[in-house]
Amino acid sequence: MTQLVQLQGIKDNLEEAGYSVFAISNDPVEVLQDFATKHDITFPLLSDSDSAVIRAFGIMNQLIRPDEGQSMRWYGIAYPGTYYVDANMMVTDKDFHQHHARRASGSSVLARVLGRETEIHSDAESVDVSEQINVTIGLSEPTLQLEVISQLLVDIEIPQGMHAYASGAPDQFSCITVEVEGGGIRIGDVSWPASEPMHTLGIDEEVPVYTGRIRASIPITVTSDVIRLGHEIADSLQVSVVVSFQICDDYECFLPESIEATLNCALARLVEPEGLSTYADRVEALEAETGKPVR
Amino acid sequence: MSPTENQYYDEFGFYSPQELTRATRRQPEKDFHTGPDVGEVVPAVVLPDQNGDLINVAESLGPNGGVVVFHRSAYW
Repeated sequence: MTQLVQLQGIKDNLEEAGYSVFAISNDPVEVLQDFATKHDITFPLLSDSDSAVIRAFGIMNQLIRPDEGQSMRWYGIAYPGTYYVDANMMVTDKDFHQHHARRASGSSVLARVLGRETEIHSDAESVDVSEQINVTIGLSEPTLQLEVISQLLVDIEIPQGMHAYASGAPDQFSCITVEVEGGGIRIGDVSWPASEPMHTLGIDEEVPVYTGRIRASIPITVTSDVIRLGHEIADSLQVSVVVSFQICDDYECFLPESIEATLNCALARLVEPEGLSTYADRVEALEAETGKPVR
Repeated sequence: MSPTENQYYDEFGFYSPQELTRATRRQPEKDFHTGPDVGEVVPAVVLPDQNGDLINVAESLGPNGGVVVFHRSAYW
């Protein structure tokens, strides 16, 4: 499973920072041993085969009846999620998603543990809009993975003595926006830092603005639509990003500007590619049968 | 849209080759129970690992703590 392989990828960084990592499921030891050998997993994959620990945490999936999927051991699975604990087993943070297929990426786990900002991966696009403003657009990981939530990060450097208008500014100002488009991806809501109120000449009310370096962060997830591009999964996909803003100093405003960048996002090699060819085959069969695209 | 066309996509737009009626595709309520909250101590975890060695998580934590991930299965 892709998530376990990603966790193996950050294991050394976590240990250097003084944290260990554990994974728990109701898989029998033999299944975990086979997976660990195949994918070189060296952190503990713990077998809670009778779901005693999963029940003690109170996170057993209550939607599956005891008689369902017995050969697959469906009954007794946990709602997937992550706890961050201190050295005394006290929860300091946790991460659960309502949708069973969604999970946080390796770099976001690392950023959360280390309490630091996620670094933009080095394949980022850096655009000098003018001599005054620089925008860097990139991803939180070197690759995107199917149904794993990564972040699209947009860093904007606003020169000293200048400001950009934030959401909530009066209509006559163009507030800063980020728009993201692309096939085979699902985009979440843009999250912005807190703005600061500013008195602007000629206006009585305070206007929300940004100054200095700001970051917009947008959850980005590759969906199974990428499979529909054909039986072979593409190596990459393209995401187009438009950043619009208006920069002012205390006396005058520059015209509103938009910059557009296209990111070429590499897709991770899938851990279970056979499973996905089966998806593609089934979709194709269904489409042939109904004569309509499956959606 | 007929049920035949739509049985593999859930309300979140997620596609899986298992029909929506399958048990594993049921979604919990938005406020489903997610176990111990921030500030609470988690239950003891003493379980065999992939090599069959019994691991006590409380005794195997790093000096700053650990990340404990619950997943559905290594296989699916």
